Amino acid sequence: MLGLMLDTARKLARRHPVLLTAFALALVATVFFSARMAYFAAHWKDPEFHMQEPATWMTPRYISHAWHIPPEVVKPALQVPDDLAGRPTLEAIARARGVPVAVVMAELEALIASQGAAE
Amino acid sequence: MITEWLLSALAAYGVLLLGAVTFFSCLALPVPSSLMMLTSGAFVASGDLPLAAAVGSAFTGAVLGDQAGYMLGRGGSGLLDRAAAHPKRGPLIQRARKMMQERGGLGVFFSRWLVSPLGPYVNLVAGAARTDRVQFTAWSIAGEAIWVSVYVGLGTFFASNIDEVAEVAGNLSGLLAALALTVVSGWFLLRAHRQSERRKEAARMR
Repeated sequence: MLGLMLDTARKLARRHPVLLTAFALALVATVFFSARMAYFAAHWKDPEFHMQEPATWMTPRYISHAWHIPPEVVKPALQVPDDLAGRPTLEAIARARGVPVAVVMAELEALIASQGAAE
Repeated sequence: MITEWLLSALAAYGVLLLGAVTFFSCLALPVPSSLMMLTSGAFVASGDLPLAAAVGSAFTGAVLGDQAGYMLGRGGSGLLDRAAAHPKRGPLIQRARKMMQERGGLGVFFSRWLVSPLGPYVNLVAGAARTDRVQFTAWSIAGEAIWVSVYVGLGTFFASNIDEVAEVAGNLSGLLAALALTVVSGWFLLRAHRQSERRKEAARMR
């Protein structure tokens, strides 16, 4: 059985090298993505896996929605300037306040931690 | 890094940027179109973006991007003509072109959303094979409607964990595309193998 398979593979490599290479690459990719899928499935129940990390693109409304924190708590916690209209990101808020974005990120992390403790 | 920047820009510039990203993703440019659509869905959920504008813009960008890809492929169809005249590879290319013209519609449809990593290349091939423009456009519209609705919808629904949804969805579409390529190349390989075995058999009989 194995001998026959090896013999066929050798024949294919000689006669159809391009097709065989394409097939082998596609097969390797399939195995790779399947393995990742299995990894995700195994970590699905992990609560850590489901947590969105704070990021600079987030807006006060998004933060309020994602972490279930009332908007009237989010705005003062991040010291969002009142004249900042539209969808300010943490980056835009930091710029308007004249502080590095890391400061606002730290405030957000503290806010999330305090809400977690309050629950 | 570019992703972080694009997501910030999405909040700043809104849906126009989203349309631009889906446009360029149809030309195989490495832009994070699924993550952008998921994030705009999350912005819809939070009230930062209107749903109709997000869906409309992503959809328009994608359909126009497909047209651009088709035109690019069409521009290169002369190359394909020359290849089809090749004595050895010609018949294979002629057959592939005929198959694309006759049954390419479903390929266009499914490569919009189910095996979306293959989408940009199907656009080029469809244009190069000079498939019917109206039919291509109809299948492209139908497929992109699904692609955009699924991703913006997932973003709206899973607004609080889009990173994770993006990773799983990206992996799933990679898996489906790889699987499709495995099946198709395996089928061609099997056929080629049988043909050469038959030829050898015939030669021995003679």
